[in-house]
Amino acid sequence: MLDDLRVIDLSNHVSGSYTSKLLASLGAHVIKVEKPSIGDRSRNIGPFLFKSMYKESSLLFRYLNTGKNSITLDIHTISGQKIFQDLISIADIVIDDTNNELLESHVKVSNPSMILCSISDFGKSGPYSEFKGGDLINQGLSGLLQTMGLPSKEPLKVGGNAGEYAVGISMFSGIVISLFSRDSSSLGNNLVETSGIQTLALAQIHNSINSQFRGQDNIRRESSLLKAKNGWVSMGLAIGSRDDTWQNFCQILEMPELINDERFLSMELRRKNESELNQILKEWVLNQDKEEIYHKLQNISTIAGYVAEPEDLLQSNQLLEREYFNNQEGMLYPGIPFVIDDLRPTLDKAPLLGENNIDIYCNLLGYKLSDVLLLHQSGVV
Amino acid sequence: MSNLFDSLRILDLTQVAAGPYTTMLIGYFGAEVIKIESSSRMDINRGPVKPSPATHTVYPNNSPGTTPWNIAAHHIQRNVNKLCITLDLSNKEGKEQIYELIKISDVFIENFRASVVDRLGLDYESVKKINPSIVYAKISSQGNTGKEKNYGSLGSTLEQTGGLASVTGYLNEKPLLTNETFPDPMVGLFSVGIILSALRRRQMYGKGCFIDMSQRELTVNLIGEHILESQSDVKTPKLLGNSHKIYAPQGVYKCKGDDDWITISIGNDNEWSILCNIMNKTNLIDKNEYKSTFDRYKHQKEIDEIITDWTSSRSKYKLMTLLQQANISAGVVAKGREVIDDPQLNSLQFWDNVNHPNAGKYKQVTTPWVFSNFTRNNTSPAHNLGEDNQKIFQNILGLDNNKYNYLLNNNVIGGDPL
Repeated sequence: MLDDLRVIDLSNHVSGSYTSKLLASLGAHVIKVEKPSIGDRSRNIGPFLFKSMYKESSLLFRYLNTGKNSITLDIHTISGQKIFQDLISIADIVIDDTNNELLESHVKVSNPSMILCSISDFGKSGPYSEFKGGDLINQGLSGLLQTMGLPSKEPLKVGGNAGEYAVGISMFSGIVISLFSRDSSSLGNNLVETSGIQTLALAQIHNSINSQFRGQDNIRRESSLLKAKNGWVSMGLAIGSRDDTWQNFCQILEMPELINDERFLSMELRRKNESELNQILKEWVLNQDKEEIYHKLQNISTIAGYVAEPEDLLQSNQLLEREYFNNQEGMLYPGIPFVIDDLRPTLDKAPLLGENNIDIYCNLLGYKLSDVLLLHQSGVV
Repeated sequence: MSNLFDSLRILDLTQVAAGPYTTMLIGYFGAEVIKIESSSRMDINRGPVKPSPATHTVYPNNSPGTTPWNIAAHHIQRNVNKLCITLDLSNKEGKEQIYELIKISDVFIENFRASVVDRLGLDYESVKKINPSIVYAKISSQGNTGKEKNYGSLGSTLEQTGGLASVTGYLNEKPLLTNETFPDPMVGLFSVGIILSALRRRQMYGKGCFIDMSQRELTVNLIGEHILESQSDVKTPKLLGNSHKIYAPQGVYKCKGDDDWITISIGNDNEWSILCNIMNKTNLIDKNEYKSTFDRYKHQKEIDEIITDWTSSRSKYKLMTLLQQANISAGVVAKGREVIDDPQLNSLQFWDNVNHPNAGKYKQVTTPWVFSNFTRNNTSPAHNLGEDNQKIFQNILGLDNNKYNYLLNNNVIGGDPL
């Protein structure tokens, strides 16, 4: 769908790399431009494949950069900048998540119809534009953090790098929107920006609603997850179930006396009296397998869940049946999260640092091999 | 003003959060979004017809009023920029009307449990027969195939089944949910890009398509590196609280004031010495145990206590300014009201001032982007249930008064909730 597009990816963080991965999954040709000998920052961030940490073993990098080419270029040298302008002149999109100030002027000179994408923590203008952020800081300022975690403890962030993936998703959709503007006019100056604070403020839903309409800020609450034999589950009985769900559930529990218990007759009541209900269910749940509970309860029209660990996901029948995972050199990678006309796109494995130098510089940009070798000796490439 | 998608018509059968977010966002750039509900089964975000005191639905000033389904806060927050019609899709004559709408639409989007559209005769094959070039987006919990395709979920379920909860929790404690149904807005935001990419291809080649989006699969994408790590020889703890893999200390620290907190993240040795200076603890700068990031990571717990000692008697906003002036990553943990009043979000025009005819004034979430050569539209407040019936069925589909009234009287086109 985007296979007519060439993307220059200057990103150094999870967000920008995920953006270009998503563009690649729709067919865009992505060239990742990395610092000579150092490479993308995530090449040095774990998790790693081997105990002895070396550049090419970052699993974070490998996951984020499937389907891309890698070249090395020092864009802070004069000859590097000239090459960079050649590169820009044949591309449609540049992604930057490092706040590179030179970029705008380069783009204006070399390719006015280029879509220039800027990912930052707080945006390019406004009172925080010079502030220093990061995933945790962005989650705090966006209102996401305050209500997460337990009431007796400090607020807790969404785990892993999920907050940064969110910003990557935001940039991806922003780029596709701006393609319509570029395709329908030749206005130039196609700048699209997204930021951590905006994206995560969109992701906090309940906090700002409650604050405005109920007149009170949300507070952290106790976890509603119940402990099963081998992990954690939620019963999903308080919303989105059918009229006969409760009765069927009591039969599974072998507790028919609960069917007409006034505390649990409706979804609203089950939500209101959730802690009492959980108290009753606790023992039953503790003796069951988490995934069995999940399937049993889903089959009577609840929205039950179980906390899937990565190992569980790799064995999920549903994910396997849909061929979600992509096997690369004996490792299962989470695949592209959509299927179009029954086809799930797959992406090639992530490139080694500078793997495509010769191909891009010589074959695409027309440099002589000897020139590239000279640039290599001087550290530009 | 944006007229990017002026000629785009979207039939929106989505409910709750993920799908409504998608159409809300595209709606900010001029698309005509027609939200279809039935009077017997409204979007469950509209809440109950007769709310009991136990209801968890949020209403302005806690007052449901006479038509609570038109002012339920979660509903009006994510159904801006849409027309609202009501149609009984299980009825033969209702189906005839939606088929007419399909003929003149570009996108069909739904997020029912997977088999619901089969039952309604609104699956992709049926819809494609009526409009071969339509872009059909199906957003479901588990995708359109597989034995679990009819399983249902909300965002809180997906955090569990998609593995996000397995990496969310305090250091070495138990998995926790976000309390913010995090996967829902992610799916909503992501679907914008996929649907518009499909439309772009249609503009180029005239070809529609069937997009099968599994919300669980997108959620698993957000923990990709953990999935790989679980297959490697090296396994590190998944529950890291607020700490960071390569920055230390990093955490959330108590400030003066009720439930007031600040985030601080120290990226390198230089920043550590700056922080020590600001805290007036210069003796810590050269302390061997805290020398490198790795050392500070190892002793993060004691360091956290030292920092808390300093922050707990100070105001979070003052601390943020102080630390940011010294080029240290730090920020307040904003409460609901503070996010709405946040100067940065307001300067980026993230919040729109909306005056909803029934629900009153409030600040509306808009889009996470700034574009240089066009802007999003102003928010068009959420419509009442069936508010646009006449416009769509009479002005656009051209039903005469007799037919329109007949369908209305037979509850095919709905009035108030049944």
